[in-house]
Amino acid sequence: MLLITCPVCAVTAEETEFSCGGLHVQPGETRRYARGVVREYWLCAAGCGSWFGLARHSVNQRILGSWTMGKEPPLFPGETA
Amino acid sequence: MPPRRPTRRYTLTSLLKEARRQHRGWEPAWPKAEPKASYEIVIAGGGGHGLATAYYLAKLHGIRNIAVVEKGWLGGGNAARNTAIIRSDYLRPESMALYRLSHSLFEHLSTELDFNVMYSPRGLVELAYTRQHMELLARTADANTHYGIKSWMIPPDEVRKLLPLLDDGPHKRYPLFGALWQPRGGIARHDAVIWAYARMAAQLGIDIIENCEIERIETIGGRISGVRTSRGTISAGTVLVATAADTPALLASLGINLPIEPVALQAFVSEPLKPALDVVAIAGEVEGYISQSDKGELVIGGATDKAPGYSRRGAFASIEDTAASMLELFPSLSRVRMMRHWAGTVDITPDRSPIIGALGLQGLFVNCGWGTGGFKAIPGSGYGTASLIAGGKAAHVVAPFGLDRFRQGRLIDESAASAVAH
Amino acid sequence: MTSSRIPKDKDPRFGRLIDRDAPLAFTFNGKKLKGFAGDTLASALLANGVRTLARSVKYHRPRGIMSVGADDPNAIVQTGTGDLRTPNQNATRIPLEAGLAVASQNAWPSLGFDAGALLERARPLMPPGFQYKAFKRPLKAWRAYEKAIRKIAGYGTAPDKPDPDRYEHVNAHADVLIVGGGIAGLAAAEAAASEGLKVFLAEAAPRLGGIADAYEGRIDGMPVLDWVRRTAAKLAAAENVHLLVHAEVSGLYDHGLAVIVENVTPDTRPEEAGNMPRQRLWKLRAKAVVLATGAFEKPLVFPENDRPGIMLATSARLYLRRYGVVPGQKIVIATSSDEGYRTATDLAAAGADISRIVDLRIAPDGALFHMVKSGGQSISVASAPVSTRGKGTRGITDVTIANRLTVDGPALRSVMSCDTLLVSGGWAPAPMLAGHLGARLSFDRELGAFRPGDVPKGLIVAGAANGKFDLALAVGDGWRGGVEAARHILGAAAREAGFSAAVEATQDDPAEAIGSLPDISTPEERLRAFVDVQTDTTVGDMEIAVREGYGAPEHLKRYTGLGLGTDQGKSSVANAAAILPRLGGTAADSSAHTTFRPPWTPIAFGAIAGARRGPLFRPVRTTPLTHLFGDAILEPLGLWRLPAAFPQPGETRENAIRREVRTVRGGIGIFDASAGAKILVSGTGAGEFLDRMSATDVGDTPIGTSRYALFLNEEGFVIEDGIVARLREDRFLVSTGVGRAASLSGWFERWHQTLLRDLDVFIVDETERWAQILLAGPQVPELLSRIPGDIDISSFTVDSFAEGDVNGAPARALASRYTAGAEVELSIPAGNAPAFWNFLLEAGRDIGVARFGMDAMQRLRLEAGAFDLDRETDGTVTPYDLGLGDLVSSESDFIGRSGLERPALTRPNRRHLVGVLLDDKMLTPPPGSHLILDPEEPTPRRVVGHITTSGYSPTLRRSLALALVSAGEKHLGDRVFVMMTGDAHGAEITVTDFLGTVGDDA
Repeated sequence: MLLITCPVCAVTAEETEFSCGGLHVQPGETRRYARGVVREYWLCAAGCGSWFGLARHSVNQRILGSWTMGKEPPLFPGETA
Repeated sequence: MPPRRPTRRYTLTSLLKEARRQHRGWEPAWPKAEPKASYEIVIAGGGGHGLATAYYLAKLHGIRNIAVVEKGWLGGGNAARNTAIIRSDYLRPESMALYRLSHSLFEHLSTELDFNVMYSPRGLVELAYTRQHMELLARTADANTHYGIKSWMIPPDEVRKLLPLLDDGPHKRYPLFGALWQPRGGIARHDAVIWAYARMAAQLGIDIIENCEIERIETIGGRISGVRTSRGTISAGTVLVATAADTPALLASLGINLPIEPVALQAFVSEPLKPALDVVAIAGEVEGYISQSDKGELVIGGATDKAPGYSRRGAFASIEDTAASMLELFPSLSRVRMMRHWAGTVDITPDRSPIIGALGLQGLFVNCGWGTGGFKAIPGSGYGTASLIAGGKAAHVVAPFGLDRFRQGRLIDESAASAVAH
Repeated sequence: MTSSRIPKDKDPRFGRLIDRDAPLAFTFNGKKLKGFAGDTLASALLANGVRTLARSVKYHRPRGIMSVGADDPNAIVQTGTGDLRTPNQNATRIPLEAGLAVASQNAWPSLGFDAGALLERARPLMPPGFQYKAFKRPLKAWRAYEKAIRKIAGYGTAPDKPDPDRYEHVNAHADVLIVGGGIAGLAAAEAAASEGLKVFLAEAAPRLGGIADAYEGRIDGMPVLDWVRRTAAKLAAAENVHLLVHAEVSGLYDHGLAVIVENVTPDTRPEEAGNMPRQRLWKLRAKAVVLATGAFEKPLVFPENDRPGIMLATSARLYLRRYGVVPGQKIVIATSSDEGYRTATDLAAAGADISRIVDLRIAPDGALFHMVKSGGQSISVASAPVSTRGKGTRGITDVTIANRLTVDGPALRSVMSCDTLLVSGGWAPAPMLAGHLGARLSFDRELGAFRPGDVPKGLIVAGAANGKFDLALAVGDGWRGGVEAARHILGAAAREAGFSAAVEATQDDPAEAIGSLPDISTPEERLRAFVDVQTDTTVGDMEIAVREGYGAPEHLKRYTGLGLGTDQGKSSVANAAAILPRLGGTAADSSAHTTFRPPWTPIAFGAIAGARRGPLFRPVRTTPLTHLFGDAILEPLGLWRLPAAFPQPGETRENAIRREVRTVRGGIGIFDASAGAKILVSGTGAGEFLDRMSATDVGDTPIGTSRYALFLNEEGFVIEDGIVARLREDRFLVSTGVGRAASLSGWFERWHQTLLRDLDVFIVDETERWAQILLAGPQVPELLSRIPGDIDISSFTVDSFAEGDVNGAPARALASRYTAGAEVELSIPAGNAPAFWNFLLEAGRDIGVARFGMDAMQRLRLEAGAFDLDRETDGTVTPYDLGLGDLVSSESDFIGRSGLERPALTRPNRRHLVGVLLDDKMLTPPPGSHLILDPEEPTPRRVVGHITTSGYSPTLRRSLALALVSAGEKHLGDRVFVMMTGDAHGAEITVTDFLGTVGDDA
């Protein structure tokens, strides 16, 4: 059960208040869902309604960071390009 | 030295004989094989699909120089984590062909494999709680009828007879419109299916190698040459990858991209109860399904987790959702308790149908993408995949499920039929 | 003699928790019994001499109470009657209440004479996995066997009435969660709280202190229980501490989530509970968790170790101290730890006869040993129980003791008669909650039990759960746990003080840890030595499983059932792990245990679902008009329940539909379309944005007009249709059909915020703001002319759109085209809608205005051959399939374009939407019926398509159907068949525009 903080409205809430929009990819691109750090789109569904980016470890569920759309951070430790 | 193959048959006579000597004479169901340097075929993944493929390759195509390589304990993936529902009431012709074959193989599996897999065709209802769902199920039932699969729609009165604990009426959130009834739908003992295939495959000469992780697939000049494992390199001209959500990672180094998303699918059981539910019940709109195991546990599942990933811990919110769904159907179960919940990582494809086929590199085959519904397909999938590898006639059953269909847009869309996982 | 309550004046130390002045009557299997306030169900049953409570699962062997807590594998009963009937309750954890009705389970016809016990005779034929070897032939017979097996298996009976109780959920946050309120937990809480952290302590029992009351000793100069009271009072008074008792931490999840089930009201009638729930499920997020979950005493594994009258030694002591109950009068104690001596001392003080203490250790040398020995107690060291005998449900009658050093020889065996055998195999830590977070537990050979291995950061295991069993060690380790939790949160700012108070306690003999496994020599004996008493799994069963290759812990569990009972193996996991390597199975190393899965003990489905029951299961979304539709047939659509039809008194649903259709075709009908989306898209990039989103060109729609548009997913399949109206240069309004308000605006937002960020677009979902009322029929202009306002629809053409004022409120009017007739959709503010709806009905009364529902709407659309997203599409249909290829933009780069251009989406033999007219005009094939070419053909038959919508058209006076048919466009006029209840009916494939092509020749 993830506890997520929206980088837009700063609310911290249960994952059920958000909605996962899948991997951060360009249209038409197929990307493997890595075992490790993945970058995903998330929606602050019950909050401000903003889409944002979230880096999360797909096995141990740790959240490494989040960012507003258009401002992607550099690689996180353990992440491969 | 090759492992000693089990030969002993399971009969009442052998059971009586062993009873007299405290069961000291039983042999291992499958010997723990050490990897040899080379095999004709290596099957990555000791789950249901891998083992069944191995068995049918040996049994029907005479290919016995096979290793089934499993990274952990045999059947420890989704084979051990599903809710063991068997049905063939699918919508699309390609699916009907595959699941009908599988269902018909289940009918005789206990005698075929000399192992009681406790296949229990107790009947299965898919409840319709909206008009749209009712029409979809009616379409499925009619498609089944023309295909030769026995399923039909039943009215609410008959549903009530099958499910005496079901609560329905005008006070409910959703009115009961009726249900699709598949009289031969049911359940089996999931672990037993694995053990039965493993035992028979071993009897036929196949090596089952546990605790051996495949690290990469080796190629020479555009063709498969073997696998590198945690216990050394094994050469083989043919490799079948049947490792569910781990498949994309294994194939990535060969430049093959599979459209598969891993996600946790959770389920739970109640404490054991005396018989309270005689059929399997699935409620797509309410997002839950339930059956009662022979041990008396209510086996309950629902939708997949909302966020993808490989964690098998799952979100408690999904358990809440499913429990609420179950109590909407069966409010009298409110004081019954959940004894255990667990999750498997299921491998979801865009059209909710599996990916089976050759992958371009000579000698490379794949069988994955079963998502939430792989258990029921094990015999048919193994039968068809074995035929595909050996160039047999039954390959046509799995032929439509090739990876190519995503590029062509020739999808076999079962997403409407699998609104909840089962 | 069996267990009984000692007299009140025997010793003030005994019976601490019961109030002898408050007797409580209850029944067990119909028999009236008496207990006291403060009793648990188990202690009250023991006080009444009840030995056998239950029958075992597989062999139906009689079973009695073994433990005082959650690890008891036997004491599983049903409580309550009627709608409060609750199966599978652990009697040790049920506080006794007046009038409680208790019944045994899994025994027929009675607990004393259980027919299922005949299975005991067949035991040799029922080794683990026998069910896989037998019952295979004949195939058909398995269903009969299965029926019998199902009846024998299972424990309690499922309730068949709705639960009258209420459950609720609470969310909470804390810095530190302390799991367990024993002395370690209390010390941890004190340490963490002293750092100013917000501490939440949850204790499963109704009181704090754990099993401290089983021990003498002093902390900080005062008796242990006084220290517990003082510490609890101090914590309760602290503002930063929340103490919760009778609340069990059921599971630990990612990101610090703990699920806690609090028992709020006893299991009595809900009306007595007032407004309180039965249970409250807490979802607590903590930054650090201290597991002070204690330990379980290990039973001894030896032949016939499962009889009633065999109980854990410390449990027996606690039954005496807490409830004044002695387990029997003639007692043998078998122990591999000092607990046996403590219990012997207590029982002797209570007047029980301790025939012998059998110590498994070769040379015990602790203070307790010497103290008891010097008191004249008969003790056999280096000895072990090797068998028992008993009399059915009356339980144990004697125990055979053998010297461990010569156990294989004939000599040195002695049989001792007894009514009670108390056992202790030492302690096994219970940190299994750590396993919920994926921590592997490692097996400590010396301890003979699992200990926390590599645990995640922020999770601290302390006290007995960490293997620190002695009082002094436990309290000190608990304090350390609290300090570590503080350090995890505060970093270097946390102080590092150790537990400072002095602790005086008897040191347990640290001599060799035998564990719980006397040596068992023969296979026959091993088959009678129970490891998991609840699932009837013996050492011999494990041995057979290992021999058959099921030696990996997960295989063993699944093959034998070991640890899969309602106790989840609490009493067996440590013993099994110690035995397995001896049998040649997997070594008991760090990787060799099965996964520990939530919940810690079973939790009610009701508690999990919480308030999400009945009307709150999925709250119905309403339109501003729903409350006016009390007389309608409402059906679920999406989140709504919408009117399907408005039957008049005595009218059937079908007749109502036909009347409503006729009203629309001949007069005027009104329809609540508020459940459709109304999305305002504005900004300089709005046109371009909509051109990307829609497969239809809409960006160049003239101001004041609208266009019908299709929306595709990336795969190229139709997911929505709607009307896009242009309000101004930079402002568009998108409306969809009823029932799908949520999805399209979400789809827009996603693209707008992620990949189409550069466009200047602002999206407002106005669905809730407006009610949408559709007027349809030739009398629409007449009715509109009677509405006061400034929207002039007299010049409306098929695409018109206007904003203005209607009936005194701002409104929008759109010439829509759902029914293929004169039609205007009015949007008015939600709050004005009910009055306006009634105004319309009143204003149009003389021209026969009537409400119509979804069914009539569907029938009207069917007549026009117009597709309905919910019926004609299923996520695999393209615009071309629907015959709407001319709506697809030839130029724009809309979403779905590349998908749509894939080979399989453009091949000519795809299914096309066509009309189907049955030869029998009055016959309506239900949606979902397939079209076949030859009804005589055996299965699998060739199928050319299926019917998507069907119904009788009152306008054309015949039944109509739409169907998706392979290459349908090329097969117009072809003959097909539909099977209905076994009969084939001929039909013709036609175009979909029935109104324009089918003559009304009836």
